[in-house]
Formats: sequence, structure tokens, C-alpha cells
Amino acid sequence: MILLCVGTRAPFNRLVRAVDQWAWKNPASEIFAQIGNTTFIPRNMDYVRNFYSISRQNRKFDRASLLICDLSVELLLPASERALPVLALPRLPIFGEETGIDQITLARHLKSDDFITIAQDETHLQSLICTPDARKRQAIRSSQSGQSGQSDSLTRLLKTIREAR
Amino acid sequence: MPAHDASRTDASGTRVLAIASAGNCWVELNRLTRAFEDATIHFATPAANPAHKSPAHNLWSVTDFSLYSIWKLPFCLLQISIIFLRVRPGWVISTGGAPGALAIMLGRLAGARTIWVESLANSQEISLSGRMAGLFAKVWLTQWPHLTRPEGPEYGGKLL
Repeated sequence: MILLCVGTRAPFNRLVRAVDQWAWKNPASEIFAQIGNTTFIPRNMDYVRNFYSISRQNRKFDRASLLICDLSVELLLPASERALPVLALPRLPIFGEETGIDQITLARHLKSDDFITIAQDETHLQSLICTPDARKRQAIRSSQSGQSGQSDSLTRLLKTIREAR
Repeated sequence: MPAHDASRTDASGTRVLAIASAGNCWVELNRLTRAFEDATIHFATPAANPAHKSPAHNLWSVTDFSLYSIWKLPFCLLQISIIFLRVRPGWVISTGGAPGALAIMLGRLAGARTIWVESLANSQEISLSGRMAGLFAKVWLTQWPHLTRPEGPEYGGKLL
């Protein structure tokens, strides 16, 4: 299942519309969306406004094979813990999409993290969802980085805090 | 504050006050408290945080404020002071938000050990809260190597 999440703090019409268009062209794909206060209403996929509880969100994350989202750390963290491949579209302030975080800068710095694929725009994003093969490659890459680089940096951070004690 | 100070520990170990705003900071804070497995952790966050919808132990509510609502600072200060009196934390840890920075300052004055971990989302520069908290925190960390400075913060690893 492809999971689309945009959080709850600001609408993200461009992303929801792009994935809905992709869903229309790929009716066989199972997609579930959490759209927050986005004003665009998807017609080609199931959606909820909010998950309302962390357990519901966890169940969806556990079932997903690909997460499509913005660059919210609160979405990226549970995805990285599950080695779930992420396809992200940064929010742009010019469209009133921002949530107080400069996601363009964050995207530039996260480029080195392999489990996240960052799309430049909606068309690029649609081309990256594309085929099961692409998702498979992302999954392999994710599991590799999930078992080495990412967990190492988290271990290091927890160790730094423990040692400070 | 010496680590063996009995008034700041209980049967399960040191008491920790973990405080942050809602959103990214809150999610990151929850991950970081894994470093305090043997401690009793008291969480504090603004009531607007969805975490308040689920009943949880040791969850305190504080008033959120920012530069644009600085008049709320005294209320937050009072609430954090009450939490300090009730909990007597040996450690204070925060990942962001003005209430977190205030708690770090109070924690330093109260003799607690203090840790500020700048949110992963702040990849361009250290936040104003982070710069304020950095003046008082015993441990001041960023999750981005390019944001380190000789005077702090230090790079300590990152959550992703």
C-alpha cells in the first residue's frame, strides 16, 4: 500500500492533487491518504483528514510499502524506524504551504540520506512513484541504510546523551 | 547538582523533565528519552499538543509562547516553576520551543543538569530558542555537523 501523509498543520494541495492524478492513471494501486486541512478533495483514493490516534497512524505505517509526504520530521522518523522508503515533496512558502520549517534547505541537507527520495516538483514526484521496481529499489536501499548509517547516527546521539549523565 | 543527590532521585532512578513544543520537537523528544531508560520521565508540553488527547502518566501542561506572544511568558514561567517544585528533576532535556528554553534556564538555576538538542528540522541555523538555551545548557547539541561552532553547539549524531 502507498501511504500519503501531509500532517495537520497546513494544507498541501500540490502533493495531494499530484498523487490523486497518479491514482487516477493507476487504478490498480492501493493508496491511502491523510490530507489534514488540504482543500483539494481526492477522488481516486481513500482518505482521512487526521489519524486522530497514534495507534491508527502506526497501523497504516506498518502496512505501507511506500510513504509519500512532505519533509516533516514527525513523519520521517516513524518511516525510518520501519525502514519504509520515503518519497518527499518539500513544501514551498510561495504557495502558503510552509509549517514554519524551511523545507527547501532541509531537502538540500537530507539529500545524502538514501532512504528519502526528494522530488523537485509534482511531475517529478509522479514519475518517481511509477513502478513496483522503483519501489523495490528504494526498499533495498532503505534497508541497507537503515541497518548502517541511520541507526549508527541515532545510536551516537543516544550515547552522547547517556555519557553526559 | 551531584548525580547522587537523593532529593532528585526515586526508587526507579533519576527524575527527568522532558519538555518540548508540539510537532517535530515532540516526536524527536520522545525518541531521545530512550537515553534515560532507568529514569522516571515527566513530560511537559503545551496543551495544544495532540499528545494531551490520550491519557498519559507524568504529562504536564504548560502555556506556549513565542516572541509574538511574549506576554504569556510569566504564565509559562509559573507553570514550569510549579513542575520543578513538584518533580524536582535531576535532568532537564528539550528539543525545541520557547517553553523548553525557559525550562533549560530554570533547570540550570535550580541545579539540574540540562540538555538541549536542536531539532533536526533546523538545518539552516540554530533557532532563537536554541541560542538562548545554549547559554544555560550543560550539553548543547545540534544534529547537523555544519551548524557546529567552537563555542557550541556540538554535533552529537542525529535521529534520522
